[in-house]
Amino acid sequence: MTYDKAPHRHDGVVLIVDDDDGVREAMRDALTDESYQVACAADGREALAYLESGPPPCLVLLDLTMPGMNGWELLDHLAQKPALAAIPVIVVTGASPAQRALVSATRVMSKPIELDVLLANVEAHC
Amino acid sequence: MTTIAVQQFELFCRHVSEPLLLAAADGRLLAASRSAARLFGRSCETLKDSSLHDLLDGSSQALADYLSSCARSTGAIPGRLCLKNGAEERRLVHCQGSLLSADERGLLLLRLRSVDEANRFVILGQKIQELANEVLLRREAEAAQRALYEEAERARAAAELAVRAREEFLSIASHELRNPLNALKLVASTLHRTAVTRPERLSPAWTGAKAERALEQIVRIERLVSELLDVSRLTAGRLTVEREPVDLFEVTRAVVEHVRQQHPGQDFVLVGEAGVVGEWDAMRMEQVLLNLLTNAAKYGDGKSVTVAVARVGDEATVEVRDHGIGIAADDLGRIFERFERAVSARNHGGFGLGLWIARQIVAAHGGEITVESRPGRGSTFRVAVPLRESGGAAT
Repeated sequence: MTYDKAPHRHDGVVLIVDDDDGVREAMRDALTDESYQVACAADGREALAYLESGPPPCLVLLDLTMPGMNGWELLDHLAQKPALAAIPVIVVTGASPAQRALVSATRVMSKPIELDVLLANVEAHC
Repeated sequence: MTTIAVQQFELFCRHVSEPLLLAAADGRLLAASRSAARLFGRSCETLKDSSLHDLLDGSSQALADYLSSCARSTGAIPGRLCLKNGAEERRLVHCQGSLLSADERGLLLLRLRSVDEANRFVILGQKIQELANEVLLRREAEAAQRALYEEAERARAAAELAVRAREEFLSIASHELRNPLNALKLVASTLHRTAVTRPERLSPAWTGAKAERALEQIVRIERLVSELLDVSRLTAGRLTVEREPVDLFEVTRAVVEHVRQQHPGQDFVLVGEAGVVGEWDAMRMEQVLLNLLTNAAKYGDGKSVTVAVARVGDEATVEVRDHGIGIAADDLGRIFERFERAVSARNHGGFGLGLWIARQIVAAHGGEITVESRPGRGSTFRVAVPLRESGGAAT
């Protein structure tokens, strides 16, 4: 595995939405180590509250299967508001291809998440 | 001439119920028993001195031949007579005719046996019985076959259910394992990447923090795998319980301490005294208590949890009472089943097997777990185990 050696400084916030504590923290650590700013939400409701209350993040990394409001439902909510609908969303999921097809997201990242794929995706948007 | 014989016959007939006729060889009917007279539909008196040729249907020659063969016989000659009774009905009778007395010329005794309607019914009855038996046997065979088929269906359905349950379990298991594995992989990848691109960042503090994150996920994986193994062992009936003298109060105290560290801020109140000693599998009992206490912390809504250990007779009890979200009455029966959670929050981790495993462990100790709960008010889980193994070997 080869890596780009230059450190980055970034504007904008990456919003991580995942109900699993371990995955969420690991993604946050990976991104903050690369000097990204990160916000976290444990389910769709928290994410929606965050998105409606402040400036839009540069990217949302969204898990699909979550209790309470899941990823599909959050996407439906976002689609209804033009300001929110413009925010890039990458769906991160272990869900089956059939389930993923129901989603109209910028991109889908499958679990297990590879670090370089994660970083490449985030860099493309932030 | 024949008077004495007739008198004797009539006397004889009073003690005999058979249809008997006393006849002369020329066909003159001398006397008849009452039952014989009934066959003719007449009285004995009116029959006297009648002619058999008048009383019987059929050719007189045949009758004459029969009578003369009876007169010449040394034994009884079988015959069939067709009686005419008063109503012009024909009655078929079997006849055993024999020479009664050689002194009188051809004094014959005819012993009648009616080919009775009753016989026909008897035979018919027998036939009906046979048919009924056959039908019954056939129905029983069909019922047995149906029972076998239903049994096979049940077995097949049960097997299908078991297969489906296992498939579902494997799917849940692989799904649940994916998260901690993914988190672990990200942590390791970050470590690796940093070591390659920015080794100057590998300070003890930074590296230590990463290692801690990695270990957290490993512990999670260990727990899930252990549950997986427990389930497979329990399903195969291989769970063994290794008993040793244990103070249940001390075990509970240790588990409470452990859970306190995992859930800082959660208040646990331990009630009871040391000395609740019995013979149990300490590690397995720890597992049960850990499950109950962890659940109480998760679903206890932050409120205080009471853990009471006591000895009651030759039983030890542990009660874990929380004042949290509680469990609906409909769910109470289900929560001890595999994969069931009354709260479907997957980030609480585990496969939903904790209570099921706990119940198996307690049952293997000869005990019981029960629960009382009210939604919004909280739940009380109660474990009761005998102090020691009773009687025979535990399975």
